[in-house]
Amino acid sequence: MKNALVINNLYAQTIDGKEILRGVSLTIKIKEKHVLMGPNGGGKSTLAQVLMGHPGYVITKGTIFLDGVDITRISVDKKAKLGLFLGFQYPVEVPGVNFASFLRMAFQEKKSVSLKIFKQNMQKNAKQLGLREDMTERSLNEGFSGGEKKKAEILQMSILKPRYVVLDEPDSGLDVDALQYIAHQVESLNYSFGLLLITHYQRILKYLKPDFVHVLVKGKIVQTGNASLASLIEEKGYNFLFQK
Amino acid sequence: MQIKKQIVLNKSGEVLLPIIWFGKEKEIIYDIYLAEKGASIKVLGVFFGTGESTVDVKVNIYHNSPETTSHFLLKGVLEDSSSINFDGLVKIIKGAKGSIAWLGAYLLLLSNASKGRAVPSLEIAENDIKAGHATTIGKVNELELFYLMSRGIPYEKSKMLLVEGFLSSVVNQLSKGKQSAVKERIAEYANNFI
Amino acid sequence: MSNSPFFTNNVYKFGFYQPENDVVRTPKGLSREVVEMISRIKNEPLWMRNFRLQAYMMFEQKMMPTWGADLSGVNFDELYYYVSSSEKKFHDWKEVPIEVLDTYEKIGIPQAEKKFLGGVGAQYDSEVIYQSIKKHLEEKGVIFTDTDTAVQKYPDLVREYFGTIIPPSDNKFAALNSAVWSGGNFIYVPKGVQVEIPLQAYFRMNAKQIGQFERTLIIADEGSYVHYLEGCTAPNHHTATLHAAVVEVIVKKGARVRYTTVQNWSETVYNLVTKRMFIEEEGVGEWIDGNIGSKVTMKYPSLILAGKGASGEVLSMAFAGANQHQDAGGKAIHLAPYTTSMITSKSVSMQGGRASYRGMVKIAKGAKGSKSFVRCDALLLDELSRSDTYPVNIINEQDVTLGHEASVSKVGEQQLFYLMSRGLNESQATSLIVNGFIEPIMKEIPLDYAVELNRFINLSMEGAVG
Repeated sequence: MKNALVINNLYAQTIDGKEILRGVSLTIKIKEKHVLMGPNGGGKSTLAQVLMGHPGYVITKGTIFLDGVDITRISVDKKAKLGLFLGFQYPVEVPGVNFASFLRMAFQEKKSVSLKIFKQNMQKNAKQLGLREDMTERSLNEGFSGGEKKKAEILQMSILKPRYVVLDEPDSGLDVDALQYIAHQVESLNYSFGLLLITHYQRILKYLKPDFVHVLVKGKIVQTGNASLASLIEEKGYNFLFQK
Repeated sequence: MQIKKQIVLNKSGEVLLPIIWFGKEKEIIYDIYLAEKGASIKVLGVFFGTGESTVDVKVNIYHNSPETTSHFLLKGVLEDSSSINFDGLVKIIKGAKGSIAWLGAYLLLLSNASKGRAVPSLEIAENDIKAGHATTIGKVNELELFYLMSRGIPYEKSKMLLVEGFLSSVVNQLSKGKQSAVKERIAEYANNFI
Repeated sequence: MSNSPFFTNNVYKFGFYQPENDVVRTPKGLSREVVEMISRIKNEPLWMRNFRLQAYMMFEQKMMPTWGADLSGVNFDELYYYVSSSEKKFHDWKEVPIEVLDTYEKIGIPQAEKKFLGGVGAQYDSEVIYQSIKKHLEEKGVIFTDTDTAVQKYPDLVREYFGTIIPPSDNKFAALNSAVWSGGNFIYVPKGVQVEIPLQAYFRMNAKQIGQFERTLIIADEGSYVHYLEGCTAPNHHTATLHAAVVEVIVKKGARVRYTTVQNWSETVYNLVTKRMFIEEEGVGEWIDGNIGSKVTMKYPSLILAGKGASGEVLSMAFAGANQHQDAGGKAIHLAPYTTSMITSKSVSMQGGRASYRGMVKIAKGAKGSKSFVRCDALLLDELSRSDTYPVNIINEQDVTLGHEASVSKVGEQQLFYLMSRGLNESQATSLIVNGFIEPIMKEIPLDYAVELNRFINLSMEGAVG
């Protein structure tokens, strides 16, 4: 299926054998905004990491197709080049690697750009996100506060313009202002992409309206609905769903 | 090929000693004597091994006077089946009050045939001092690699980015001339893959 | 002033010794005949006699170590290698000879017996006199006896493991112990059995010029758990005494063994011990080592991580006072994938004492995914003391993580000032700081010993500081 990220009956476990995902199926089309919620330990972050190919997990069953291409077992960088992007929940610090250089290198895998133009563009986006200009001169994520790290993830996304964006709890650890910035950035990107946003607190949903809401519990999606499902959960909690 | 040198610091002030290895020498030996009050040495080691290069590195730093300082930072990157054998000794004699010594030796093993041995030793006979050392030996951090690749940067390039990042804390302290020479050598090597 | 807490009026409290009432003793010095005599006295099977004789030959051939502490004061010809105070074993306090009882009374063993302990094997000179094994341990199939008895009663079990982890060829003192060993404990824990109560042993050297050569062998079968404790004191003499012990521990799949030692030998003792744990798949081995006594200690508890997922830890604490050299540390050899080791060493030197950390971490090719971390810190309390660190790190496998950190310093002036500003005097403040420094090790040591250690340290501070 073109113009869609199709996850079909995905099973995954940690490399020392603990099963986390137990048959997840989800289709995200371009221009759609999906939100994934669920209690802690249900596998939300795991799904995000498994999609990207995190070395700590192994897919045991099922497939992932991006724009009709089977990406289940291809290398991490190839997935990225095909248009998949993961905004990490805890972006790792990479000392000694300059932020701007690294991002330009990633950008240049698809298209050439002069350093000057690239930096201009990047600094403009950084400003819009409320990031200090000098941030991009520093080592990748080194010394960034939690909020700055999250914003930096969005900055990367805005430069690389991926077709399918998975954001792993971009709202955790952020104050309201930062939340708004991020939501605004995501909403105002000037190209079409499919979004899977993983959230725990749902606060970001005040600023970002989802088309679909899914609930992941113990490695399986137990409920799918629209934005009102999120409000219901906020009001009554997850247990309410199980009482049906 | 061997480098064997004795360095005696007879006056107060800091001296910078760069040690740069790209596989040529088989043995590097430095005996450094901090002989006068206030003498200070900063040793910056950049080691890059490829092919079957191996090197025995012995650095002995003797704090023979009060208020002497030594700061030793060695970073080694080992590819293919190269290896480093490092023996570092910091010795502070009785009476060398107020001395400070720090020794750090960090080795990055890039291939499954590369090896490292590091023995950073301390012999301290004076209590009014501060001394410490740290060593890490390991491969490239998997999560850092994953992160870079998740942005579309292919494996070899990501690896080299991490290697440069690893060496940067030492390389950036070298003189401008040496910095470019080192960066050039590394870029040359990286181009073999990219 | 001496460095031991057990000094009142400068006399080592445990420095009394029994007028010698010993029953059997080999002639002074070591020879093939002495080794044969020891074996005959013990009425050993041929295989053990041969083991001893072969070991003796190795002892003769092996050189003294060229590294470590100064062992020139050890005179092999001047020692008696076997002394026994009785030929019988006892199972009840009432059967033990009066003088022996008296000795134990003085070091408080009957009190220990009153406490809830699993069993006490106590060593008087070279023979284990008193053994008592609580009923429920026997019922569980746990064997806790002295090694001499084990050779007679469980020969197959002993023969399978004895000398396999530390062969006589390992080093000169292992060869010596293998030739003349006597006493020590043998423990076998069957599959799946958890021994909740720590098993203990006390050691004591009494008659002048006695060497102490106990040999301990612990086998923890799959999935079992045992904690073994030893704490030693020895009377004070002017002539040097030698303690060359060997401890072999086999931790089988999924089992866990913790071995705690608090050593407070008097300041004439050369304490040279070879201790090693062989850890199989998913097994856990822990060495807790407290070294506060002796003239010279050379001891490097080792972990051989032989099976996938095996893990081990060494917590070593050394306290070196005047005329003491503690050369201690730990070794971790990673032979299998996903093994982890952690070595923490804390040493304190004062009044000219010398504390050295000597360690090794070796990760063999194929031990993928292994991790090792070593932290060794040294505190030099005064200008006279000395500290050395010799950590050897050998990595032959790429997919591993090894980290090592060390620091050497004196007591922080700021910290001292802060504590004193709250009303503590200098020695109290120093005690607190030193206690805080060794806390990671202390908290793993059972209460009785921890109390002893604390008192010791505080007393030492009083004499040395302020």
